[in-house]
Amino acid sequence: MKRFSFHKGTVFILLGILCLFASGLRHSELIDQRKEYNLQHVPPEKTTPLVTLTTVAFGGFRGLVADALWVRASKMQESGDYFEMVQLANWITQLEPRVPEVWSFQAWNLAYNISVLFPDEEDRWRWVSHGIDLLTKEGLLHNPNSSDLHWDIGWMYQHKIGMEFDLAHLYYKQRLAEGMEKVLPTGTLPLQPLSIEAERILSSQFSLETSVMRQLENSFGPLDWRLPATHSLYWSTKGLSYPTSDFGGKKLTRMKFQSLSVLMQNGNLLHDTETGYMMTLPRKDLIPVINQEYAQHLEGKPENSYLVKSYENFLYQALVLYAESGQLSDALELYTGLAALDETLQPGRVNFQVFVQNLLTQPPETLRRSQAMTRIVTLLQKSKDPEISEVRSRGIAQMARQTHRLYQESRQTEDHLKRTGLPPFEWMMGNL
Amino acid sequence: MKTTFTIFKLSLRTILRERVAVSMLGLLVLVLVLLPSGLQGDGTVQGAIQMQVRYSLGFSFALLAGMTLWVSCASVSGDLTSKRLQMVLTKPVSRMSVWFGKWLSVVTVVSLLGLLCGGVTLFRIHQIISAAEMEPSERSLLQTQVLTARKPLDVPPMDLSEEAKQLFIKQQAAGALPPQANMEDLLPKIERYLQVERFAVDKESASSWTLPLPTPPQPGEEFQLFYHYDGLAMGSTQVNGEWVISDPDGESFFRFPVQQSPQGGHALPFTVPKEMAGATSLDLTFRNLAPEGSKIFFQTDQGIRLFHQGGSFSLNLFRSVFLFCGLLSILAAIGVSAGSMFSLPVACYSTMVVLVLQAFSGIVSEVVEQGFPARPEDVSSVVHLFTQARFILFQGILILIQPMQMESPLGRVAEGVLIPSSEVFAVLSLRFLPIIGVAALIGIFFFSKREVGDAS
Repeated sequence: MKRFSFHKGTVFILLGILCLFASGLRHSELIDQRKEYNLQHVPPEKTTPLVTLTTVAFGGFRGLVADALWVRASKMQESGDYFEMVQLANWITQLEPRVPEVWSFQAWNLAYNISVLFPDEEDRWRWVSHGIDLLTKEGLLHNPNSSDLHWDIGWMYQHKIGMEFDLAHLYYKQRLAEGMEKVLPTGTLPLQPLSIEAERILSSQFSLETSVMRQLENSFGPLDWRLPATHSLYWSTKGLSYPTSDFGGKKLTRMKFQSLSVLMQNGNLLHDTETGYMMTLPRKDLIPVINQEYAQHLEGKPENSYLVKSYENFLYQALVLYAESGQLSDALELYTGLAALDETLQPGRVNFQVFVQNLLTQPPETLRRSQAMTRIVTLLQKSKDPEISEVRSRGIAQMARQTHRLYQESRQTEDHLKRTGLPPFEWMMGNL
Repeated sequence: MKTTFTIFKLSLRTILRERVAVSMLGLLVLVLVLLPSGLQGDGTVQGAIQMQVRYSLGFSFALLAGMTLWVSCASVSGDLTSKRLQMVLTKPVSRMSVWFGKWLSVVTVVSLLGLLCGGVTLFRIHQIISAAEMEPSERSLLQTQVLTARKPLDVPPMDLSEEAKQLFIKQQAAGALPPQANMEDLLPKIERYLQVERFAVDKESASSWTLPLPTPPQPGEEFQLFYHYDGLAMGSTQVNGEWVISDPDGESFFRFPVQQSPQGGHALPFTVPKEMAGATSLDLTFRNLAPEGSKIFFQTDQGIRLFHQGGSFSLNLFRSVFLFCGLLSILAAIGVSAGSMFSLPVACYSTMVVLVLQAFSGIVSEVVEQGFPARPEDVSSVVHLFTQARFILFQGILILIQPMQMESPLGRVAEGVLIPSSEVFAVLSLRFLPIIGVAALIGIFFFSKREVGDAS
C-alpha cells in the first residue's frame, strides 16, 4: 500500500512539473497576445517591483486595498497631514497602474490642491514637482500611450507654471529655468549632439527625449527649453502622436497652438541667475510658421472649426506684436485676415489705422503681465535701434519707463504685485 | 514557578525552531530594511521621520501581530497535534504552569522583536537626520516640534447638554423645528453644533479659551501654542488674525499675527517671561481680523493646545513600543487560550477576529458615534430592525474592544507629542492586564477540562 502511494505521489509530482513546463511554453505566446491586444503596455521586466508585487500578491483584493488607501488619503488631506500624501498617491496609482484617470487625479491633487496650502514658495514648488514627477516618471511608464496623461503634464506646465494664477508662479518659472540651465546653459539645444550625461539628465529629470525636442526645433526653430510653454508644446505634440479620442485630440491640438502663441509673445528668456530676475522677449519669427500651421489645420477641414477662435486670437496677438514694433505692413496683412473672420472688424486701411491706434493707446494698467512685458520689451528694443535719432530713442525709452511705472502702480495689493509684477525697469533696460 | 520556567524555556526553543516563526522573522527583517528605503515622504526631513515612525514601525508591528497570532495558537494546539505536550503532561505539571509558560515565551519573543524594531527605527531616524542638509532654523524646528516629546495641555471639556436643551426649547418655541422633532434624537446634534461653535471665531470678532496649568510655569520655560484648523469647514480663504496669550485678568504676554492657509496644524513657540511665572491658568484668544474673510474653525478635538517640554523622543518611541507590546501580550493570551481549546486553524481564525476588530476599531467607533439610527420614512420596519440589530452588534463589539483602544501611539510619537509613563503604566496594568487575566482564566479552565493524555 505504501509503495503504491509513493509511486502515485511521484506520478503526480511529475505530472505537476509537466504542467508547469507546458504552461511555461505558452508564456511567451501570451505576452505577445498581451502586446497585440494592447492589454499591457509595459513589459513585466520594465515595470516597478511594487506594481508586480501588488498586482500578483493582492490579486482580487487589490481593489479593496486601493479603497482603503483612498479613504486614508482623504482623511489625511482633510486633517491637513500631508507627509504621507506622496506615498499614498504612489501606492494608490501602483495598485491601479493602468487607469490613467487615477494618475491624473493623484497628480492634480498633489500639484494643485496641496501645493496652494503652503505659504512658502519652496514648499509649493516641491508639491508641484511631486505632481509632475508622478505623471512623467511613473504614470507614463505604465501608460505610455495615454494621450490624456500627456495633456495633463502639458497642462501643469502651461497653466500651473506658465500662467499667473498661482502666487508662486514666478518662483516655479525660476526653478524650471535653473533646472534646465544645468543641462542647456543657454536654454536651447546645441547644434552638436548632447553629451550622454546631459541626455541622461533630460530624460531622468524632465522625461524629455532629445529626438522629439529636435523634431520640434526643426519645425519651429530654436526653442527656449527653460520656458514652461516649450514644455507644454513638447507634451502636447508628443501626446498627439498617440491615438486619442476626438475630444482628447482637440484638447491637445488647442494646447499645442496656445503654447505656440505664448512662445511667439514670450519665446526668448533672459534670466539673471544672480538676482533671479527674468524677462521674456517676443519671437516674431514664429508668426509665419504658426500661421502656416493654422492654415494646414483649417483649410478644407471643417472638422477643425473649433480652432477658428484660437486662430482669431493668434492673429490678434501677432498683429499687436507687429504693430508695437512698427511693422505696419505685416500688421495690415494680419488685420485683413482677422477682419475676414471677425464680423465686428471692418476691412480697409483706415479701419486698420484706427484699430492699431486703439491697440497702442491701451492703458498699461489694463494689460496682462505678459502683454505689459511684451510692450515694454518692444519699446526698449525700438529705442536701441541704431537707425533712429538719439532724441527719439530717449523718447521711446521714456515711454517704456512710463508703461512700466503705470503697470506696476496699478497692482492693487502686495500679493498682486508679487504675482503679476515686473522686474525693475533699470534691470530690463540694462539687459536688453 | 520552576515548572513554569521550564515550560517557558522549552516553548522558547520550540518557537525559535518553528519554520513559520523563522519566515515571519525574515519578513520582519525585510520590512525593517527594505521598506524604509522605498518610503516616499513629502521631501522634507520632518516627513521622512514621520513616515519612518508611522509606516516602518507600524508595518513591523502588524507583522509581529501576525506572528504572535500564529505562534501563540500553535504553542498549545500545535504541541498537542505533534504529541509533544502529551509527553510534558505525563509529568507533575499543572495546566496553569503550561499556559503561563507558553504565554510568557510568546510574549518574550515578540516583545524582544518589538524592542528591536523600535531600535532599528531610531537608528534609521538618526541616519536621516545625519544625512540631511538643513538650515539652522529648520533643524531647530525639527528639534522642537518633531524630535521631542511635548506634554500637551488641552482646553477642558465642557458639558453642553443643558445649553443644548435650552437651545432646543428656544428653537421649538420659535417654530424653527418641525413639530415631530424629538429632543432625544436632536440633542446630540445640537451639542455637536455647540461644540463646533465653541471652537469657531466669527469674522471681525474674537474667541477665548482658558487653559488651567497643572504646574505654574517657570521663567525661561519653553512653551508652544498649537492650533489646528478645521480645513474642511473653511475652504481655502486665507486666515488673517492674531493670537493673544494673556492671564485671566487680561494682561497679555504675547501677540502672534497670523496670515496663512486654513489647513493643518501650526505651533507658535514662546518662552515664559517673568510676569507669567506662577500663573495657574492662561487665556488663549484668537482675533479674526479679516473683514472680507470667513469664519474660522478650529478642530474641536485637540484643535487648540499648549505644549511644553515633556521628555526625549527616543524614550517616547519606546513607550509606544511598550504599549504595542502590551497589545501583543493580549493577542498572545487570546491565542494561547484559543489554542488550548481548539485545533490550530480554528484557534487562528478566532484570534484573528480579535486582531481584525482591534485594527478596525476606529470604524466601529465611528458607526457607534453616529448614534442610534432613526427610521427614515421610506424604510420598512424589517429593514430598520436589521439596522438596529447591526447597530447593537457594533455597540457590543465596541464595549468588548474598547479596553484595547489606544490614542494612536505612533501618531503621537511622529508628531512629537508625549506619551506619559503614567499612561503606559495605567494602560498596561489597569486595562491590558485584566484582559490577559480573563483570557488566562478562560484558557486555563478549558485547558484543564480538555483530555489530552488519553491513548488517542
